[in-house]
Parts: sequence; structure tokens; C-alpha cells
Amino acid sequence: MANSLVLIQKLVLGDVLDRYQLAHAVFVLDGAEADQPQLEEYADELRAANTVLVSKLDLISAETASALQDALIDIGVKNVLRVDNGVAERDFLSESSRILEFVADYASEFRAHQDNVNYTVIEIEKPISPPAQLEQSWPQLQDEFGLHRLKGDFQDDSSQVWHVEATPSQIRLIEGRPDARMRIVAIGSKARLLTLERLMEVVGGA
Amino acid sequence: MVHDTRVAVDGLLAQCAEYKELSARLEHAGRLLARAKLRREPTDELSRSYQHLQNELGQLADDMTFASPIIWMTYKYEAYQKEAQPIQTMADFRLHCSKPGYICTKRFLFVNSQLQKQGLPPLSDKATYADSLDLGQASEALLPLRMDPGFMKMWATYEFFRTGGKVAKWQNYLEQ
Repeated sequence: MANSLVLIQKLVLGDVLDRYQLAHAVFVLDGAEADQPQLEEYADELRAANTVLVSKLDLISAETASALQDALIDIGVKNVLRVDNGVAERDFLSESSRILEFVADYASEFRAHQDNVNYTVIEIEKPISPPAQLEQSWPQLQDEFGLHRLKGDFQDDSSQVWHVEATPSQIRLIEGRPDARMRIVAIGSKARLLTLERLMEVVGGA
Repeated sequence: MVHDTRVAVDGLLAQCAEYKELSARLEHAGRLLARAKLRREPTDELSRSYQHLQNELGQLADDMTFASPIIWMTYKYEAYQKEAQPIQTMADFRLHCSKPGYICTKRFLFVNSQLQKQGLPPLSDKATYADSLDLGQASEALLPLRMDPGFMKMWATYEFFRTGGKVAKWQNYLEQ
């Protein structure tokens, strides 16, 4: 749930909430990726949510997790629950939502988080082999193209399909589906400058 | 012809600026209306204002048409220059025209099919139009089409299509 306040506005304007009830608002926060600027950027959405579920805490130290919890309290977030290996208590879902009241009382402009979105879709027409080269190149791709997301599928020399998902601090390669389309989506400040040729140059030099 | 293109593109850029201004006003009106609905306050006047802006925006979008593919390409190149996702190169343009069912995708497919009919490489040909090629230079490739009255007639059939009295740009184009 990223830009929840804008979403609520659209639901209200479309009279959707005349027919459906909003049960609960959950903000899932990636504990391994969250940093102070991000918390400040999403502060309103975090406060508006009934519950903030913090995931991937197993990837960070106990001290960092504790600091994150403190930072959330500092910006006024109250109901924080941790998700351990994808599992969380579900009792909180029975509480009724108060996000509509939050939006009704919200005075300032909504966050326009998509202003700086820059993306590209690259058809991967050549093999990337070995696949680990992409993993090794991820820091360079972040530096050179300002990337913060990479997701898609590609083949290696032996026609094995690989699925990649990357965030600023993580990159994961798993076996992909044989029927997957060989293409990668990259998001970041200069993503559009990343072409297949440039990607192969960077990966080749990893 | 160059002068005509310039005049048309300048007109479209002015419409684009107006579109952005109207969009911002619509967004603000939407905020006020949604808040009033949530607070169960009277909404008649806010609804009218919101609807009026919506209609104005729709009318403006309908009015923004491209009389030739060169005008289309030049407009895309210039209008998006300061956007987060500019359209400066052939890679940018191909990406912009890749969304299935999207109106620019239809224009792109149609132009490519007609270039190929004339024995010319399509804009999707990366060997001819490299990813890094500046879009401003690539628009020259469309000159043969612009000079072809048959092509221009077909382009107009799609670009200015209306159905039931309403603007329906490219809805009559069937992707091959």
C-alpha cells in the first residue's frame, strides 16, 4: 500500500465506498530497506494505516530493528507489528478502519510520489551468463543509472530461465518459469538510459 | 511543410500546458469533494465544479490530434523533455509506444506497417534506428509517408475517427 491517501480519494470520488466497507488499512514496511528519508516520505501513509507490518527483520540486526521501531514511534506511528518469515498474527484485522477519518481531517496536499518515476523495459535478447554476473553488477547499475528496482526474467547460455528481483539492499535470483517473457523492468532516476547494450556492457564487465 | 509542422506542434504544446494546469485544478477539486463527502457536508457545488473540470479536460484531450506522424513524433519529443520520463531517443519512443492497446502503440504499429509496405525499415528496426538515436533526427524517416497522399488519408481516418458523435481516435484501427 504505497500512496494510500490518493487511493482513498479515488474510492470516495468513485462512490465505491457507498457499496463497500473499508475493513482495515495495512502498511507493509520492508524492514531491510526502510531508512529515515523513506520513513519521512511515507510518514502520512504510515500514520494513516491502522497497522504497520514490518517485514524482513531477520535480515537486519536487533539494534537496527530496534532503531527502526523507535523511528516509527517518533513519527507518530502507533500500531506496529512484526512479520517473522512472512507470518504475522491476524487478530489486528478485526479492528475497524479509521483511515477515512484520517483522510477527512487531512489538511495538506497528498504526496505525489510518482513525480520522479523513470523506468525502462528491456527485452533481453541475449543470454546473461553466468547469472551471478547480474548479481555482481547490481551495485554498479544502482550507481550508474540510479536504479532502485530491477525485476524480470532472462536466460543463461544453457537456456535456463532465471528470475531476478532487486531492491537497493537485496538482489535475488531464482529459477524462472520456462514460459516467462525474457525482459527486465528497471526503475530509477536514470533508468531510461539503460539499454540492452549498456546492460550487457555492465554485466559483461562485472 | 516544415512551417506547418512547427505551427501545429506549437499549438499542441500550448494545449499540453493547459492540460497540465487543468489536471492540477481537477486534482485539487477532487481533494475538496472527497473531503466533503467523507465529512458528510453538502457537495452539490463541489460536484458541479469537479464535473465541469472533468468535462473541460476531456474536451481538451479530444482536441489534441496529430495531423501527421511527423507532428506526432515531434510533439512527443518536445512535450516530454522536462518530464521524469522524457522521450528523447528511439529507445524512449519505442518504450512509450509499447503498451498494448495504447493509442500511441496503434500509431506506431500503423506507421511501421506502412513504412514496410514502401520497402523501408520500420521504426522498430534497431539496426537502422539505434536505441540511442535522437528522436528529433529519426522523424525524417517519416517524410516518405508524409508525402504519400494515400497514407495521409488513412492516417486521418484513424486520427480523426468519431463514433456516435464522439471522438474515438484510433478505435477503428485493428492491430495486425
